Amino acid sequence: MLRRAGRAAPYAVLLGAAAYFYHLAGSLEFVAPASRIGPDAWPKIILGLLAAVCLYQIGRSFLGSSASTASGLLHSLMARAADDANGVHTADRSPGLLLGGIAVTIAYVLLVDVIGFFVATALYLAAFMRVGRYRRYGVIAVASVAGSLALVVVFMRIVYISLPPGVGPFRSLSFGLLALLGVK
Amino acid sequence: MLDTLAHLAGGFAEVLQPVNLMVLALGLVLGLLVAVLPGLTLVMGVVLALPFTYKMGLTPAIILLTAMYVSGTYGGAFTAILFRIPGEPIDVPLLWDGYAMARRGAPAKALGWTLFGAFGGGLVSALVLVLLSEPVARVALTFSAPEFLAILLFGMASVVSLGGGSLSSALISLFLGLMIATVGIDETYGTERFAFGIPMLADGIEYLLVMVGAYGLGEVFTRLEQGFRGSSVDTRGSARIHTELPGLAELLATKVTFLRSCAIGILVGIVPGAGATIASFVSYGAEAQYGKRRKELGSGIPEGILAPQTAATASVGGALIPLLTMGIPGSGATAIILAAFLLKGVQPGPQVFVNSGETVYAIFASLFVAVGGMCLLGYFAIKLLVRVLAFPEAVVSAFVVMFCFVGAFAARNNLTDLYVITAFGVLGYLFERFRFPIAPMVLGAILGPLAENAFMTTMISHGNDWTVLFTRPVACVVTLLSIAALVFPLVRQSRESRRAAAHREGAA
Repeated sequence: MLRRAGRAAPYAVLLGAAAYFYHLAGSLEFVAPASRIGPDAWPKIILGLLAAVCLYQIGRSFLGSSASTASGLLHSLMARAADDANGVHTADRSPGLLLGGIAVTIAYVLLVDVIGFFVATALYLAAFMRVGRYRRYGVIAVASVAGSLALVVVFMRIVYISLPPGVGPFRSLSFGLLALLGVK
Repeated sequence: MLDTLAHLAGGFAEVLQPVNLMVLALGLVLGLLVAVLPGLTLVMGVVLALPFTYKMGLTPAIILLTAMYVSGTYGGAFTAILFRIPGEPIDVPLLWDGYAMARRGAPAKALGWTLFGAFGGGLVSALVLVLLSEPVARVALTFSAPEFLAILLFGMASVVSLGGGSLSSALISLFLGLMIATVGIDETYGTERFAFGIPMLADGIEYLLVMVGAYGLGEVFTRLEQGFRGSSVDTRGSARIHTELPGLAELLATKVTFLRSCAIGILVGIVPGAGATIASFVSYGAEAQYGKRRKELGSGIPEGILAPQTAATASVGGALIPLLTMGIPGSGATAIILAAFLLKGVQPGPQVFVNSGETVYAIFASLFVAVGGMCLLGYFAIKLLVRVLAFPEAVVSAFVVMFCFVGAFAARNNLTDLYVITAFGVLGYLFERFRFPIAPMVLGAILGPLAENAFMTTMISHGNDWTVLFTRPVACVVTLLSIAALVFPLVRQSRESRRAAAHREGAA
């Protein structure tokens, strides 16, 4: 029973979210002739359909068998060729690696505006490679510094995208670097 | 016909401009690289190239992405045949006969058959694209809102029906994508929806962020959790690799396979949501069912290589037909090409032939040039291309994330978009983890505003009468096709369950 409830839980959460957004859609304010449908109509239809699929899945979790389910054509084809599709890349999952990767990614997003694109990117590239269990530190150092420089040159000199310079000393560092690279 | 040829000649003149030619060559190299590089998929590669098109004109931007798309269907064949590493799911059927032929001591011959398949399939599909697009666009010009709504519904239904994942999870993914598209100010009334007073949400969620986050970051997170592959593939022997083209007698002996695979590739490509992977599998399946040497399939025969490769590359031209004539993407890569069009303020569809005819014919011409260029690169640069397999995945993936970030940031020069893309990256990972397909969500986010617009126009101009979808002939046929597309997986599953039950009874 607990296992079935666990299977139904994500769909119950989605169903709850659909009901909440349906309620929000119902309280939208707009001015339209009485006979005309409003901006709530389209989201309500989608949310209604989403709720129907969730209800079906919840019902299936408790009443139906877990054996087979209708799937897309690609899914069936790939399932038949699963061993070959995975090739040599079949490994156990490591949640620690994933959490580490997400953590350094969030840290980058938080810090890039403060320490500037170049420094943040060099640190991020090095940290991500290390989190990805790459051990050749010489390659990590060269790839992260040279890679960040290359990205600055490509995006600021060729594609003309203004990247964040950072604040305080990092700002001075970024502008110094840009001057060295000939970016005005 | 003469008009078409004249326009096509103009298209070739446009493609042969130095800038366009350079962009095309770059696209071909990048497409081959992403197909070979560990940790990169074709769709991811095209997504990552999108930011580089921001400052380009419409024509070079689309040429770049189309060249990547076509060469991406070919590059993965090298690693599948030589190292038994399918660069893409497209290349899985190549393992069965391509790798087997290589193991039998004829890798050069196996590479020659893929080269011929990619070249022939690409050229035939480009020809069909040129011949069919304008007539289809002319028909599409007569459509009004109910027909477009029906076509959009069909596009979404077939993505759900043909893609990965279970039917329920694909539908949930699609509905989430459609809901993402409703966030912000609605086009008809100017009402703010689901923004919760947050300015970033009031502007709406850019489909670009959904796409780059879910496809790019999501895939990197998934592979990170599984553990990146090091440079475990020994490519030192790549100096000996070469391609040996099949002779005329061998080609004539496989002409039926070639023609059948071209037809399958183009038809599968035209169906929204199908794409190169399904084309490749279906074509191999057809060969196993109808091929002259079907009993030898899997032992390393040319037909087993020719069928999937021809169909995969032929699907590119097919997928561009609904994109250019009706604005419906036929695959993940064409969804990104659609995004590139929209970023330039151009809505693909019948009107594009009237308003941007030169660009359309330049795209057609670029496909011919791309197919030729891709095969030349594959023939002469295979040794170099194969060497990139030695790149460690951790290093490649770190740069992939950076390209995702810069691409997301560059669209609006807004740092808060990095939070959005990270959130969609985590969502993309969760989708992969719990086997929800990403493509329907991305397609929902892109097509959502178009579908809502067509829905509102249809309802307002027909007095809220939804039966208009069944009372107008074209809309009715397409709506029935959408329903059939959704019923198809249920019928297939019920048939498979019955067959499995009969098998169990037989065994008992």
